[in-house]
Amino acid sequence: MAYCNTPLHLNEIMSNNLQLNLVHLYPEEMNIYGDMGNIIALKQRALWRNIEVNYQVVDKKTSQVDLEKINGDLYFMGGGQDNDMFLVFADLINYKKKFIETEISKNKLFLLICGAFQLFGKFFLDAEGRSIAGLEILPLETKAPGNKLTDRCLGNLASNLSPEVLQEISASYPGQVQETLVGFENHSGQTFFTDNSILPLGKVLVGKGNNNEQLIEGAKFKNVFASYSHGSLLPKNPHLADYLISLALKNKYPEFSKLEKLDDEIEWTAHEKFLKRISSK
Amino acid sequence: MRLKYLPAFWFTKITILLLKLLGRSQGTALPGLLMEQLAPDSLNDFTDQLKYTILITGTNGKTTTQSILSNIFKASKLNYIANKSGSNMIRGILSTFINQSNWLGKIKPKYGIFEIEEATLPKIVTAMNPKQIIVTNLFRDQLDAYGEIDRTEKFIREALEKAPQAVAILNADDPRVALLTRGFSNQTLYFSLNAPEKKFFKYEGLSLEKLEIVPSEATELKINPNLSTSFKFLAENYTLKLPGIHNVYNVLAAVLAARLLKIKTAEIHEAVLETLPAFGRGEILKLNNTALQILLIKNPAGLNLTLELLTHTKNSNLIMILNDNIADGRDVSWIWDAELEILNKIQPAEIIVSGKRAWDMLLRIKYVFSEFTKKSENLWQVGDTNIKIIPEQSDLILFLNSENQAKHYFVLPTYTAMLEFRKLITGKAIVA
Repeated sequence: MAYCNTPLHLNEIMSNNLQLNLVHLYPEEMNIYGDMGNIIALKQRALWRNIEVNYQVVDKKTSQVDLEKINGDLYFMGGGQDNDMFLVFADLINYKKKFIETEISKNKLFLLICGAFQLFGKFFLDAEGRSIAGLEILPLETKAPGNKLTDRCLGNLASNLSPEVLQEISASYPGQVQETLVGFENHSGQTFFTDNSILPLGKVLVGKGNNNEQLIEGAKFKNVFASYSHGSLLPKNPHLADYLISLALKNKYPEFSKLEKLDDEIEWTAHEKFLKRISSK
Repeated sequence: MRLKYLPAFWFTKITILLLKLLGRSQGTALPGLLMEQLAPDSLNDFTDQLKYTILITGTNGKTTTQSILSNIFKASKLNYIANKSGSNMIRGILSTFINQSNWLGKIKPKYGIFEIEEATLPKIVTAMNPKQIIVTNLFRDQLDAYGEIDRTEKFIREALEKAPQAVAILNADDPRVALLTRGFSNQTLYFSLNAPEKKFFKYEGLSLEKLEIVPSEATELKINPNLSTSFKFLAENYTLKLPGIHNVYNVLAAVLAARLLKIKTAEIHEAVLETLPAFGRGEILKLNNTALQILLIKNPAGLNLTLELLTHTKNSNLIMILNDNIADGRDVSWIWDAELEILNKIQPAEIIVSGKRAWDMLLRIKYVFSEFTKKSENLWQVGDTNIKIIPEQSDLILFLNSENQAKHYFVLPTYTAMLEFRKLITGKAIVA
């Protein structure tokens, strides 16, 4: 494989002065099924390239004054259990909505997993028929058909990246790109887009994805990326991780061109073995 | 046994006998189920025959506490009856009695040591008439979204109120547990661990500073390189072969219970020392000259505790085996919630990664370190640590078989990985 045998420390010799402000939204409440792995992956992949990472947390304890000081390049929010989501909800809508809208208008990067994906939409209609307003940032709505285990989308998830996304990823990932995304989904909500300004990340190969009907997974809206994949998503999908880092850096440093190549043998082998294991079942 | 219940009892006995002859039942649940249906309050007929009953409840450590206490009773030659783990609800307890009684429903032991599922406790506490109730701890389940732990706490409180004659033996380090007898008349004894390692337990609840509880404290805690633990409790020095501080708590509870019964300290001491780790919880298997100490991993919290424990070793050899069968959990995301970063403190000499999701585990380990250098096919190096991947367990055993030096491995498998590993090892060599 072409990406083997590049000792990581060689990359570190080339010093640069790049900085990445990584902001984690509600890490305590919204962290389930290994969502923390996405932060670990983003941090390490930046550090291995000698990019300085400033990790910050925004949550219920963040005051308006502190919030104004936050200048993230890449924002991450994970999934939560329905109960935890409701706790986060009020705070997010009442105190953070404007801030997030402004950041998105500045093309800041967002990665949203599962529950966060749903919260950024118009509303979430739960199994008891209660409707909870969302941030109304993404043109999508989510409905939960029921509380039974059989109503859940639960299991391994693999999708083929949509051609547009694949093209952009190929241009920014410094290595040979896989066309697939892999992960694990566990959600009761069924998510549907409400207009064409939002695009799916990929077409589902194995699993359910956004809903039971359309065989699509995830979303891309401006620089907001969303997915139902836990797993964790980014460690086994280094092309997506690098794409996000690269977009965030381009947004911050207009002269930035491309990330250094890393040895991703283990990442891709884990990715391929996973695909093989789930398609043989 | 009351006369009116004898026909139902005989019917149950005969049914079980027939099923056992046919190899259809092990008699762990069915006898209790039948008796529960046919003679609903027959539990009294058995419990009335016991003169001293100890009940053990709590979210973790019931089985181990019961097993340590059983060993103490054995050492003290007290004839006792005890239920098996997993048979800790009404039908399981009834089954235990039915299996150990004669055709008139008579049982020989005068002592009972029962682990009881928390929600079952208030339902049977009156019939069981315990002299002691031990509460190990009340940990929140990782995915406790519905306040399950609050309900559990209420069940235990309800039981303690219904049994004022029972001495409560409580974990003073767990605020939820320490407060259980507040407002009730139960005599209460507390155990506590006076050691910094306490911080690894996610106890929750109010601070205890104002409660004026005086617990019996374990002090001078020391984790030895073979993962056994030494400590001092009630002026006695103990060594426990079961790995993990959580097991020290189980010993403290058992020792307090035994001391209350005036069992001789020498007998208690001997029994604790001779308590061996259960299946997958630190048991040591042997393969030629190699010792393989198995530490089952199930979830992030458990893996974190195991890794913390391994920081007490030097130049250790680790084997991590990750499977994703149903019993392990299909989703391996949890390895990203675990703090594998503790490996930086352990600095093992060698890590071998295996199992159906070996590459996922290797990937997780890679992201712990600031560099991860490839040495050759399937071999990497970080500092002085060699990291190897051998996905197939059969190949792993071949590799271990080919090792010439006497080595001690700490094996960290998920559940089905452990079953497979044990089978491969014990199929080839003698169990230590």
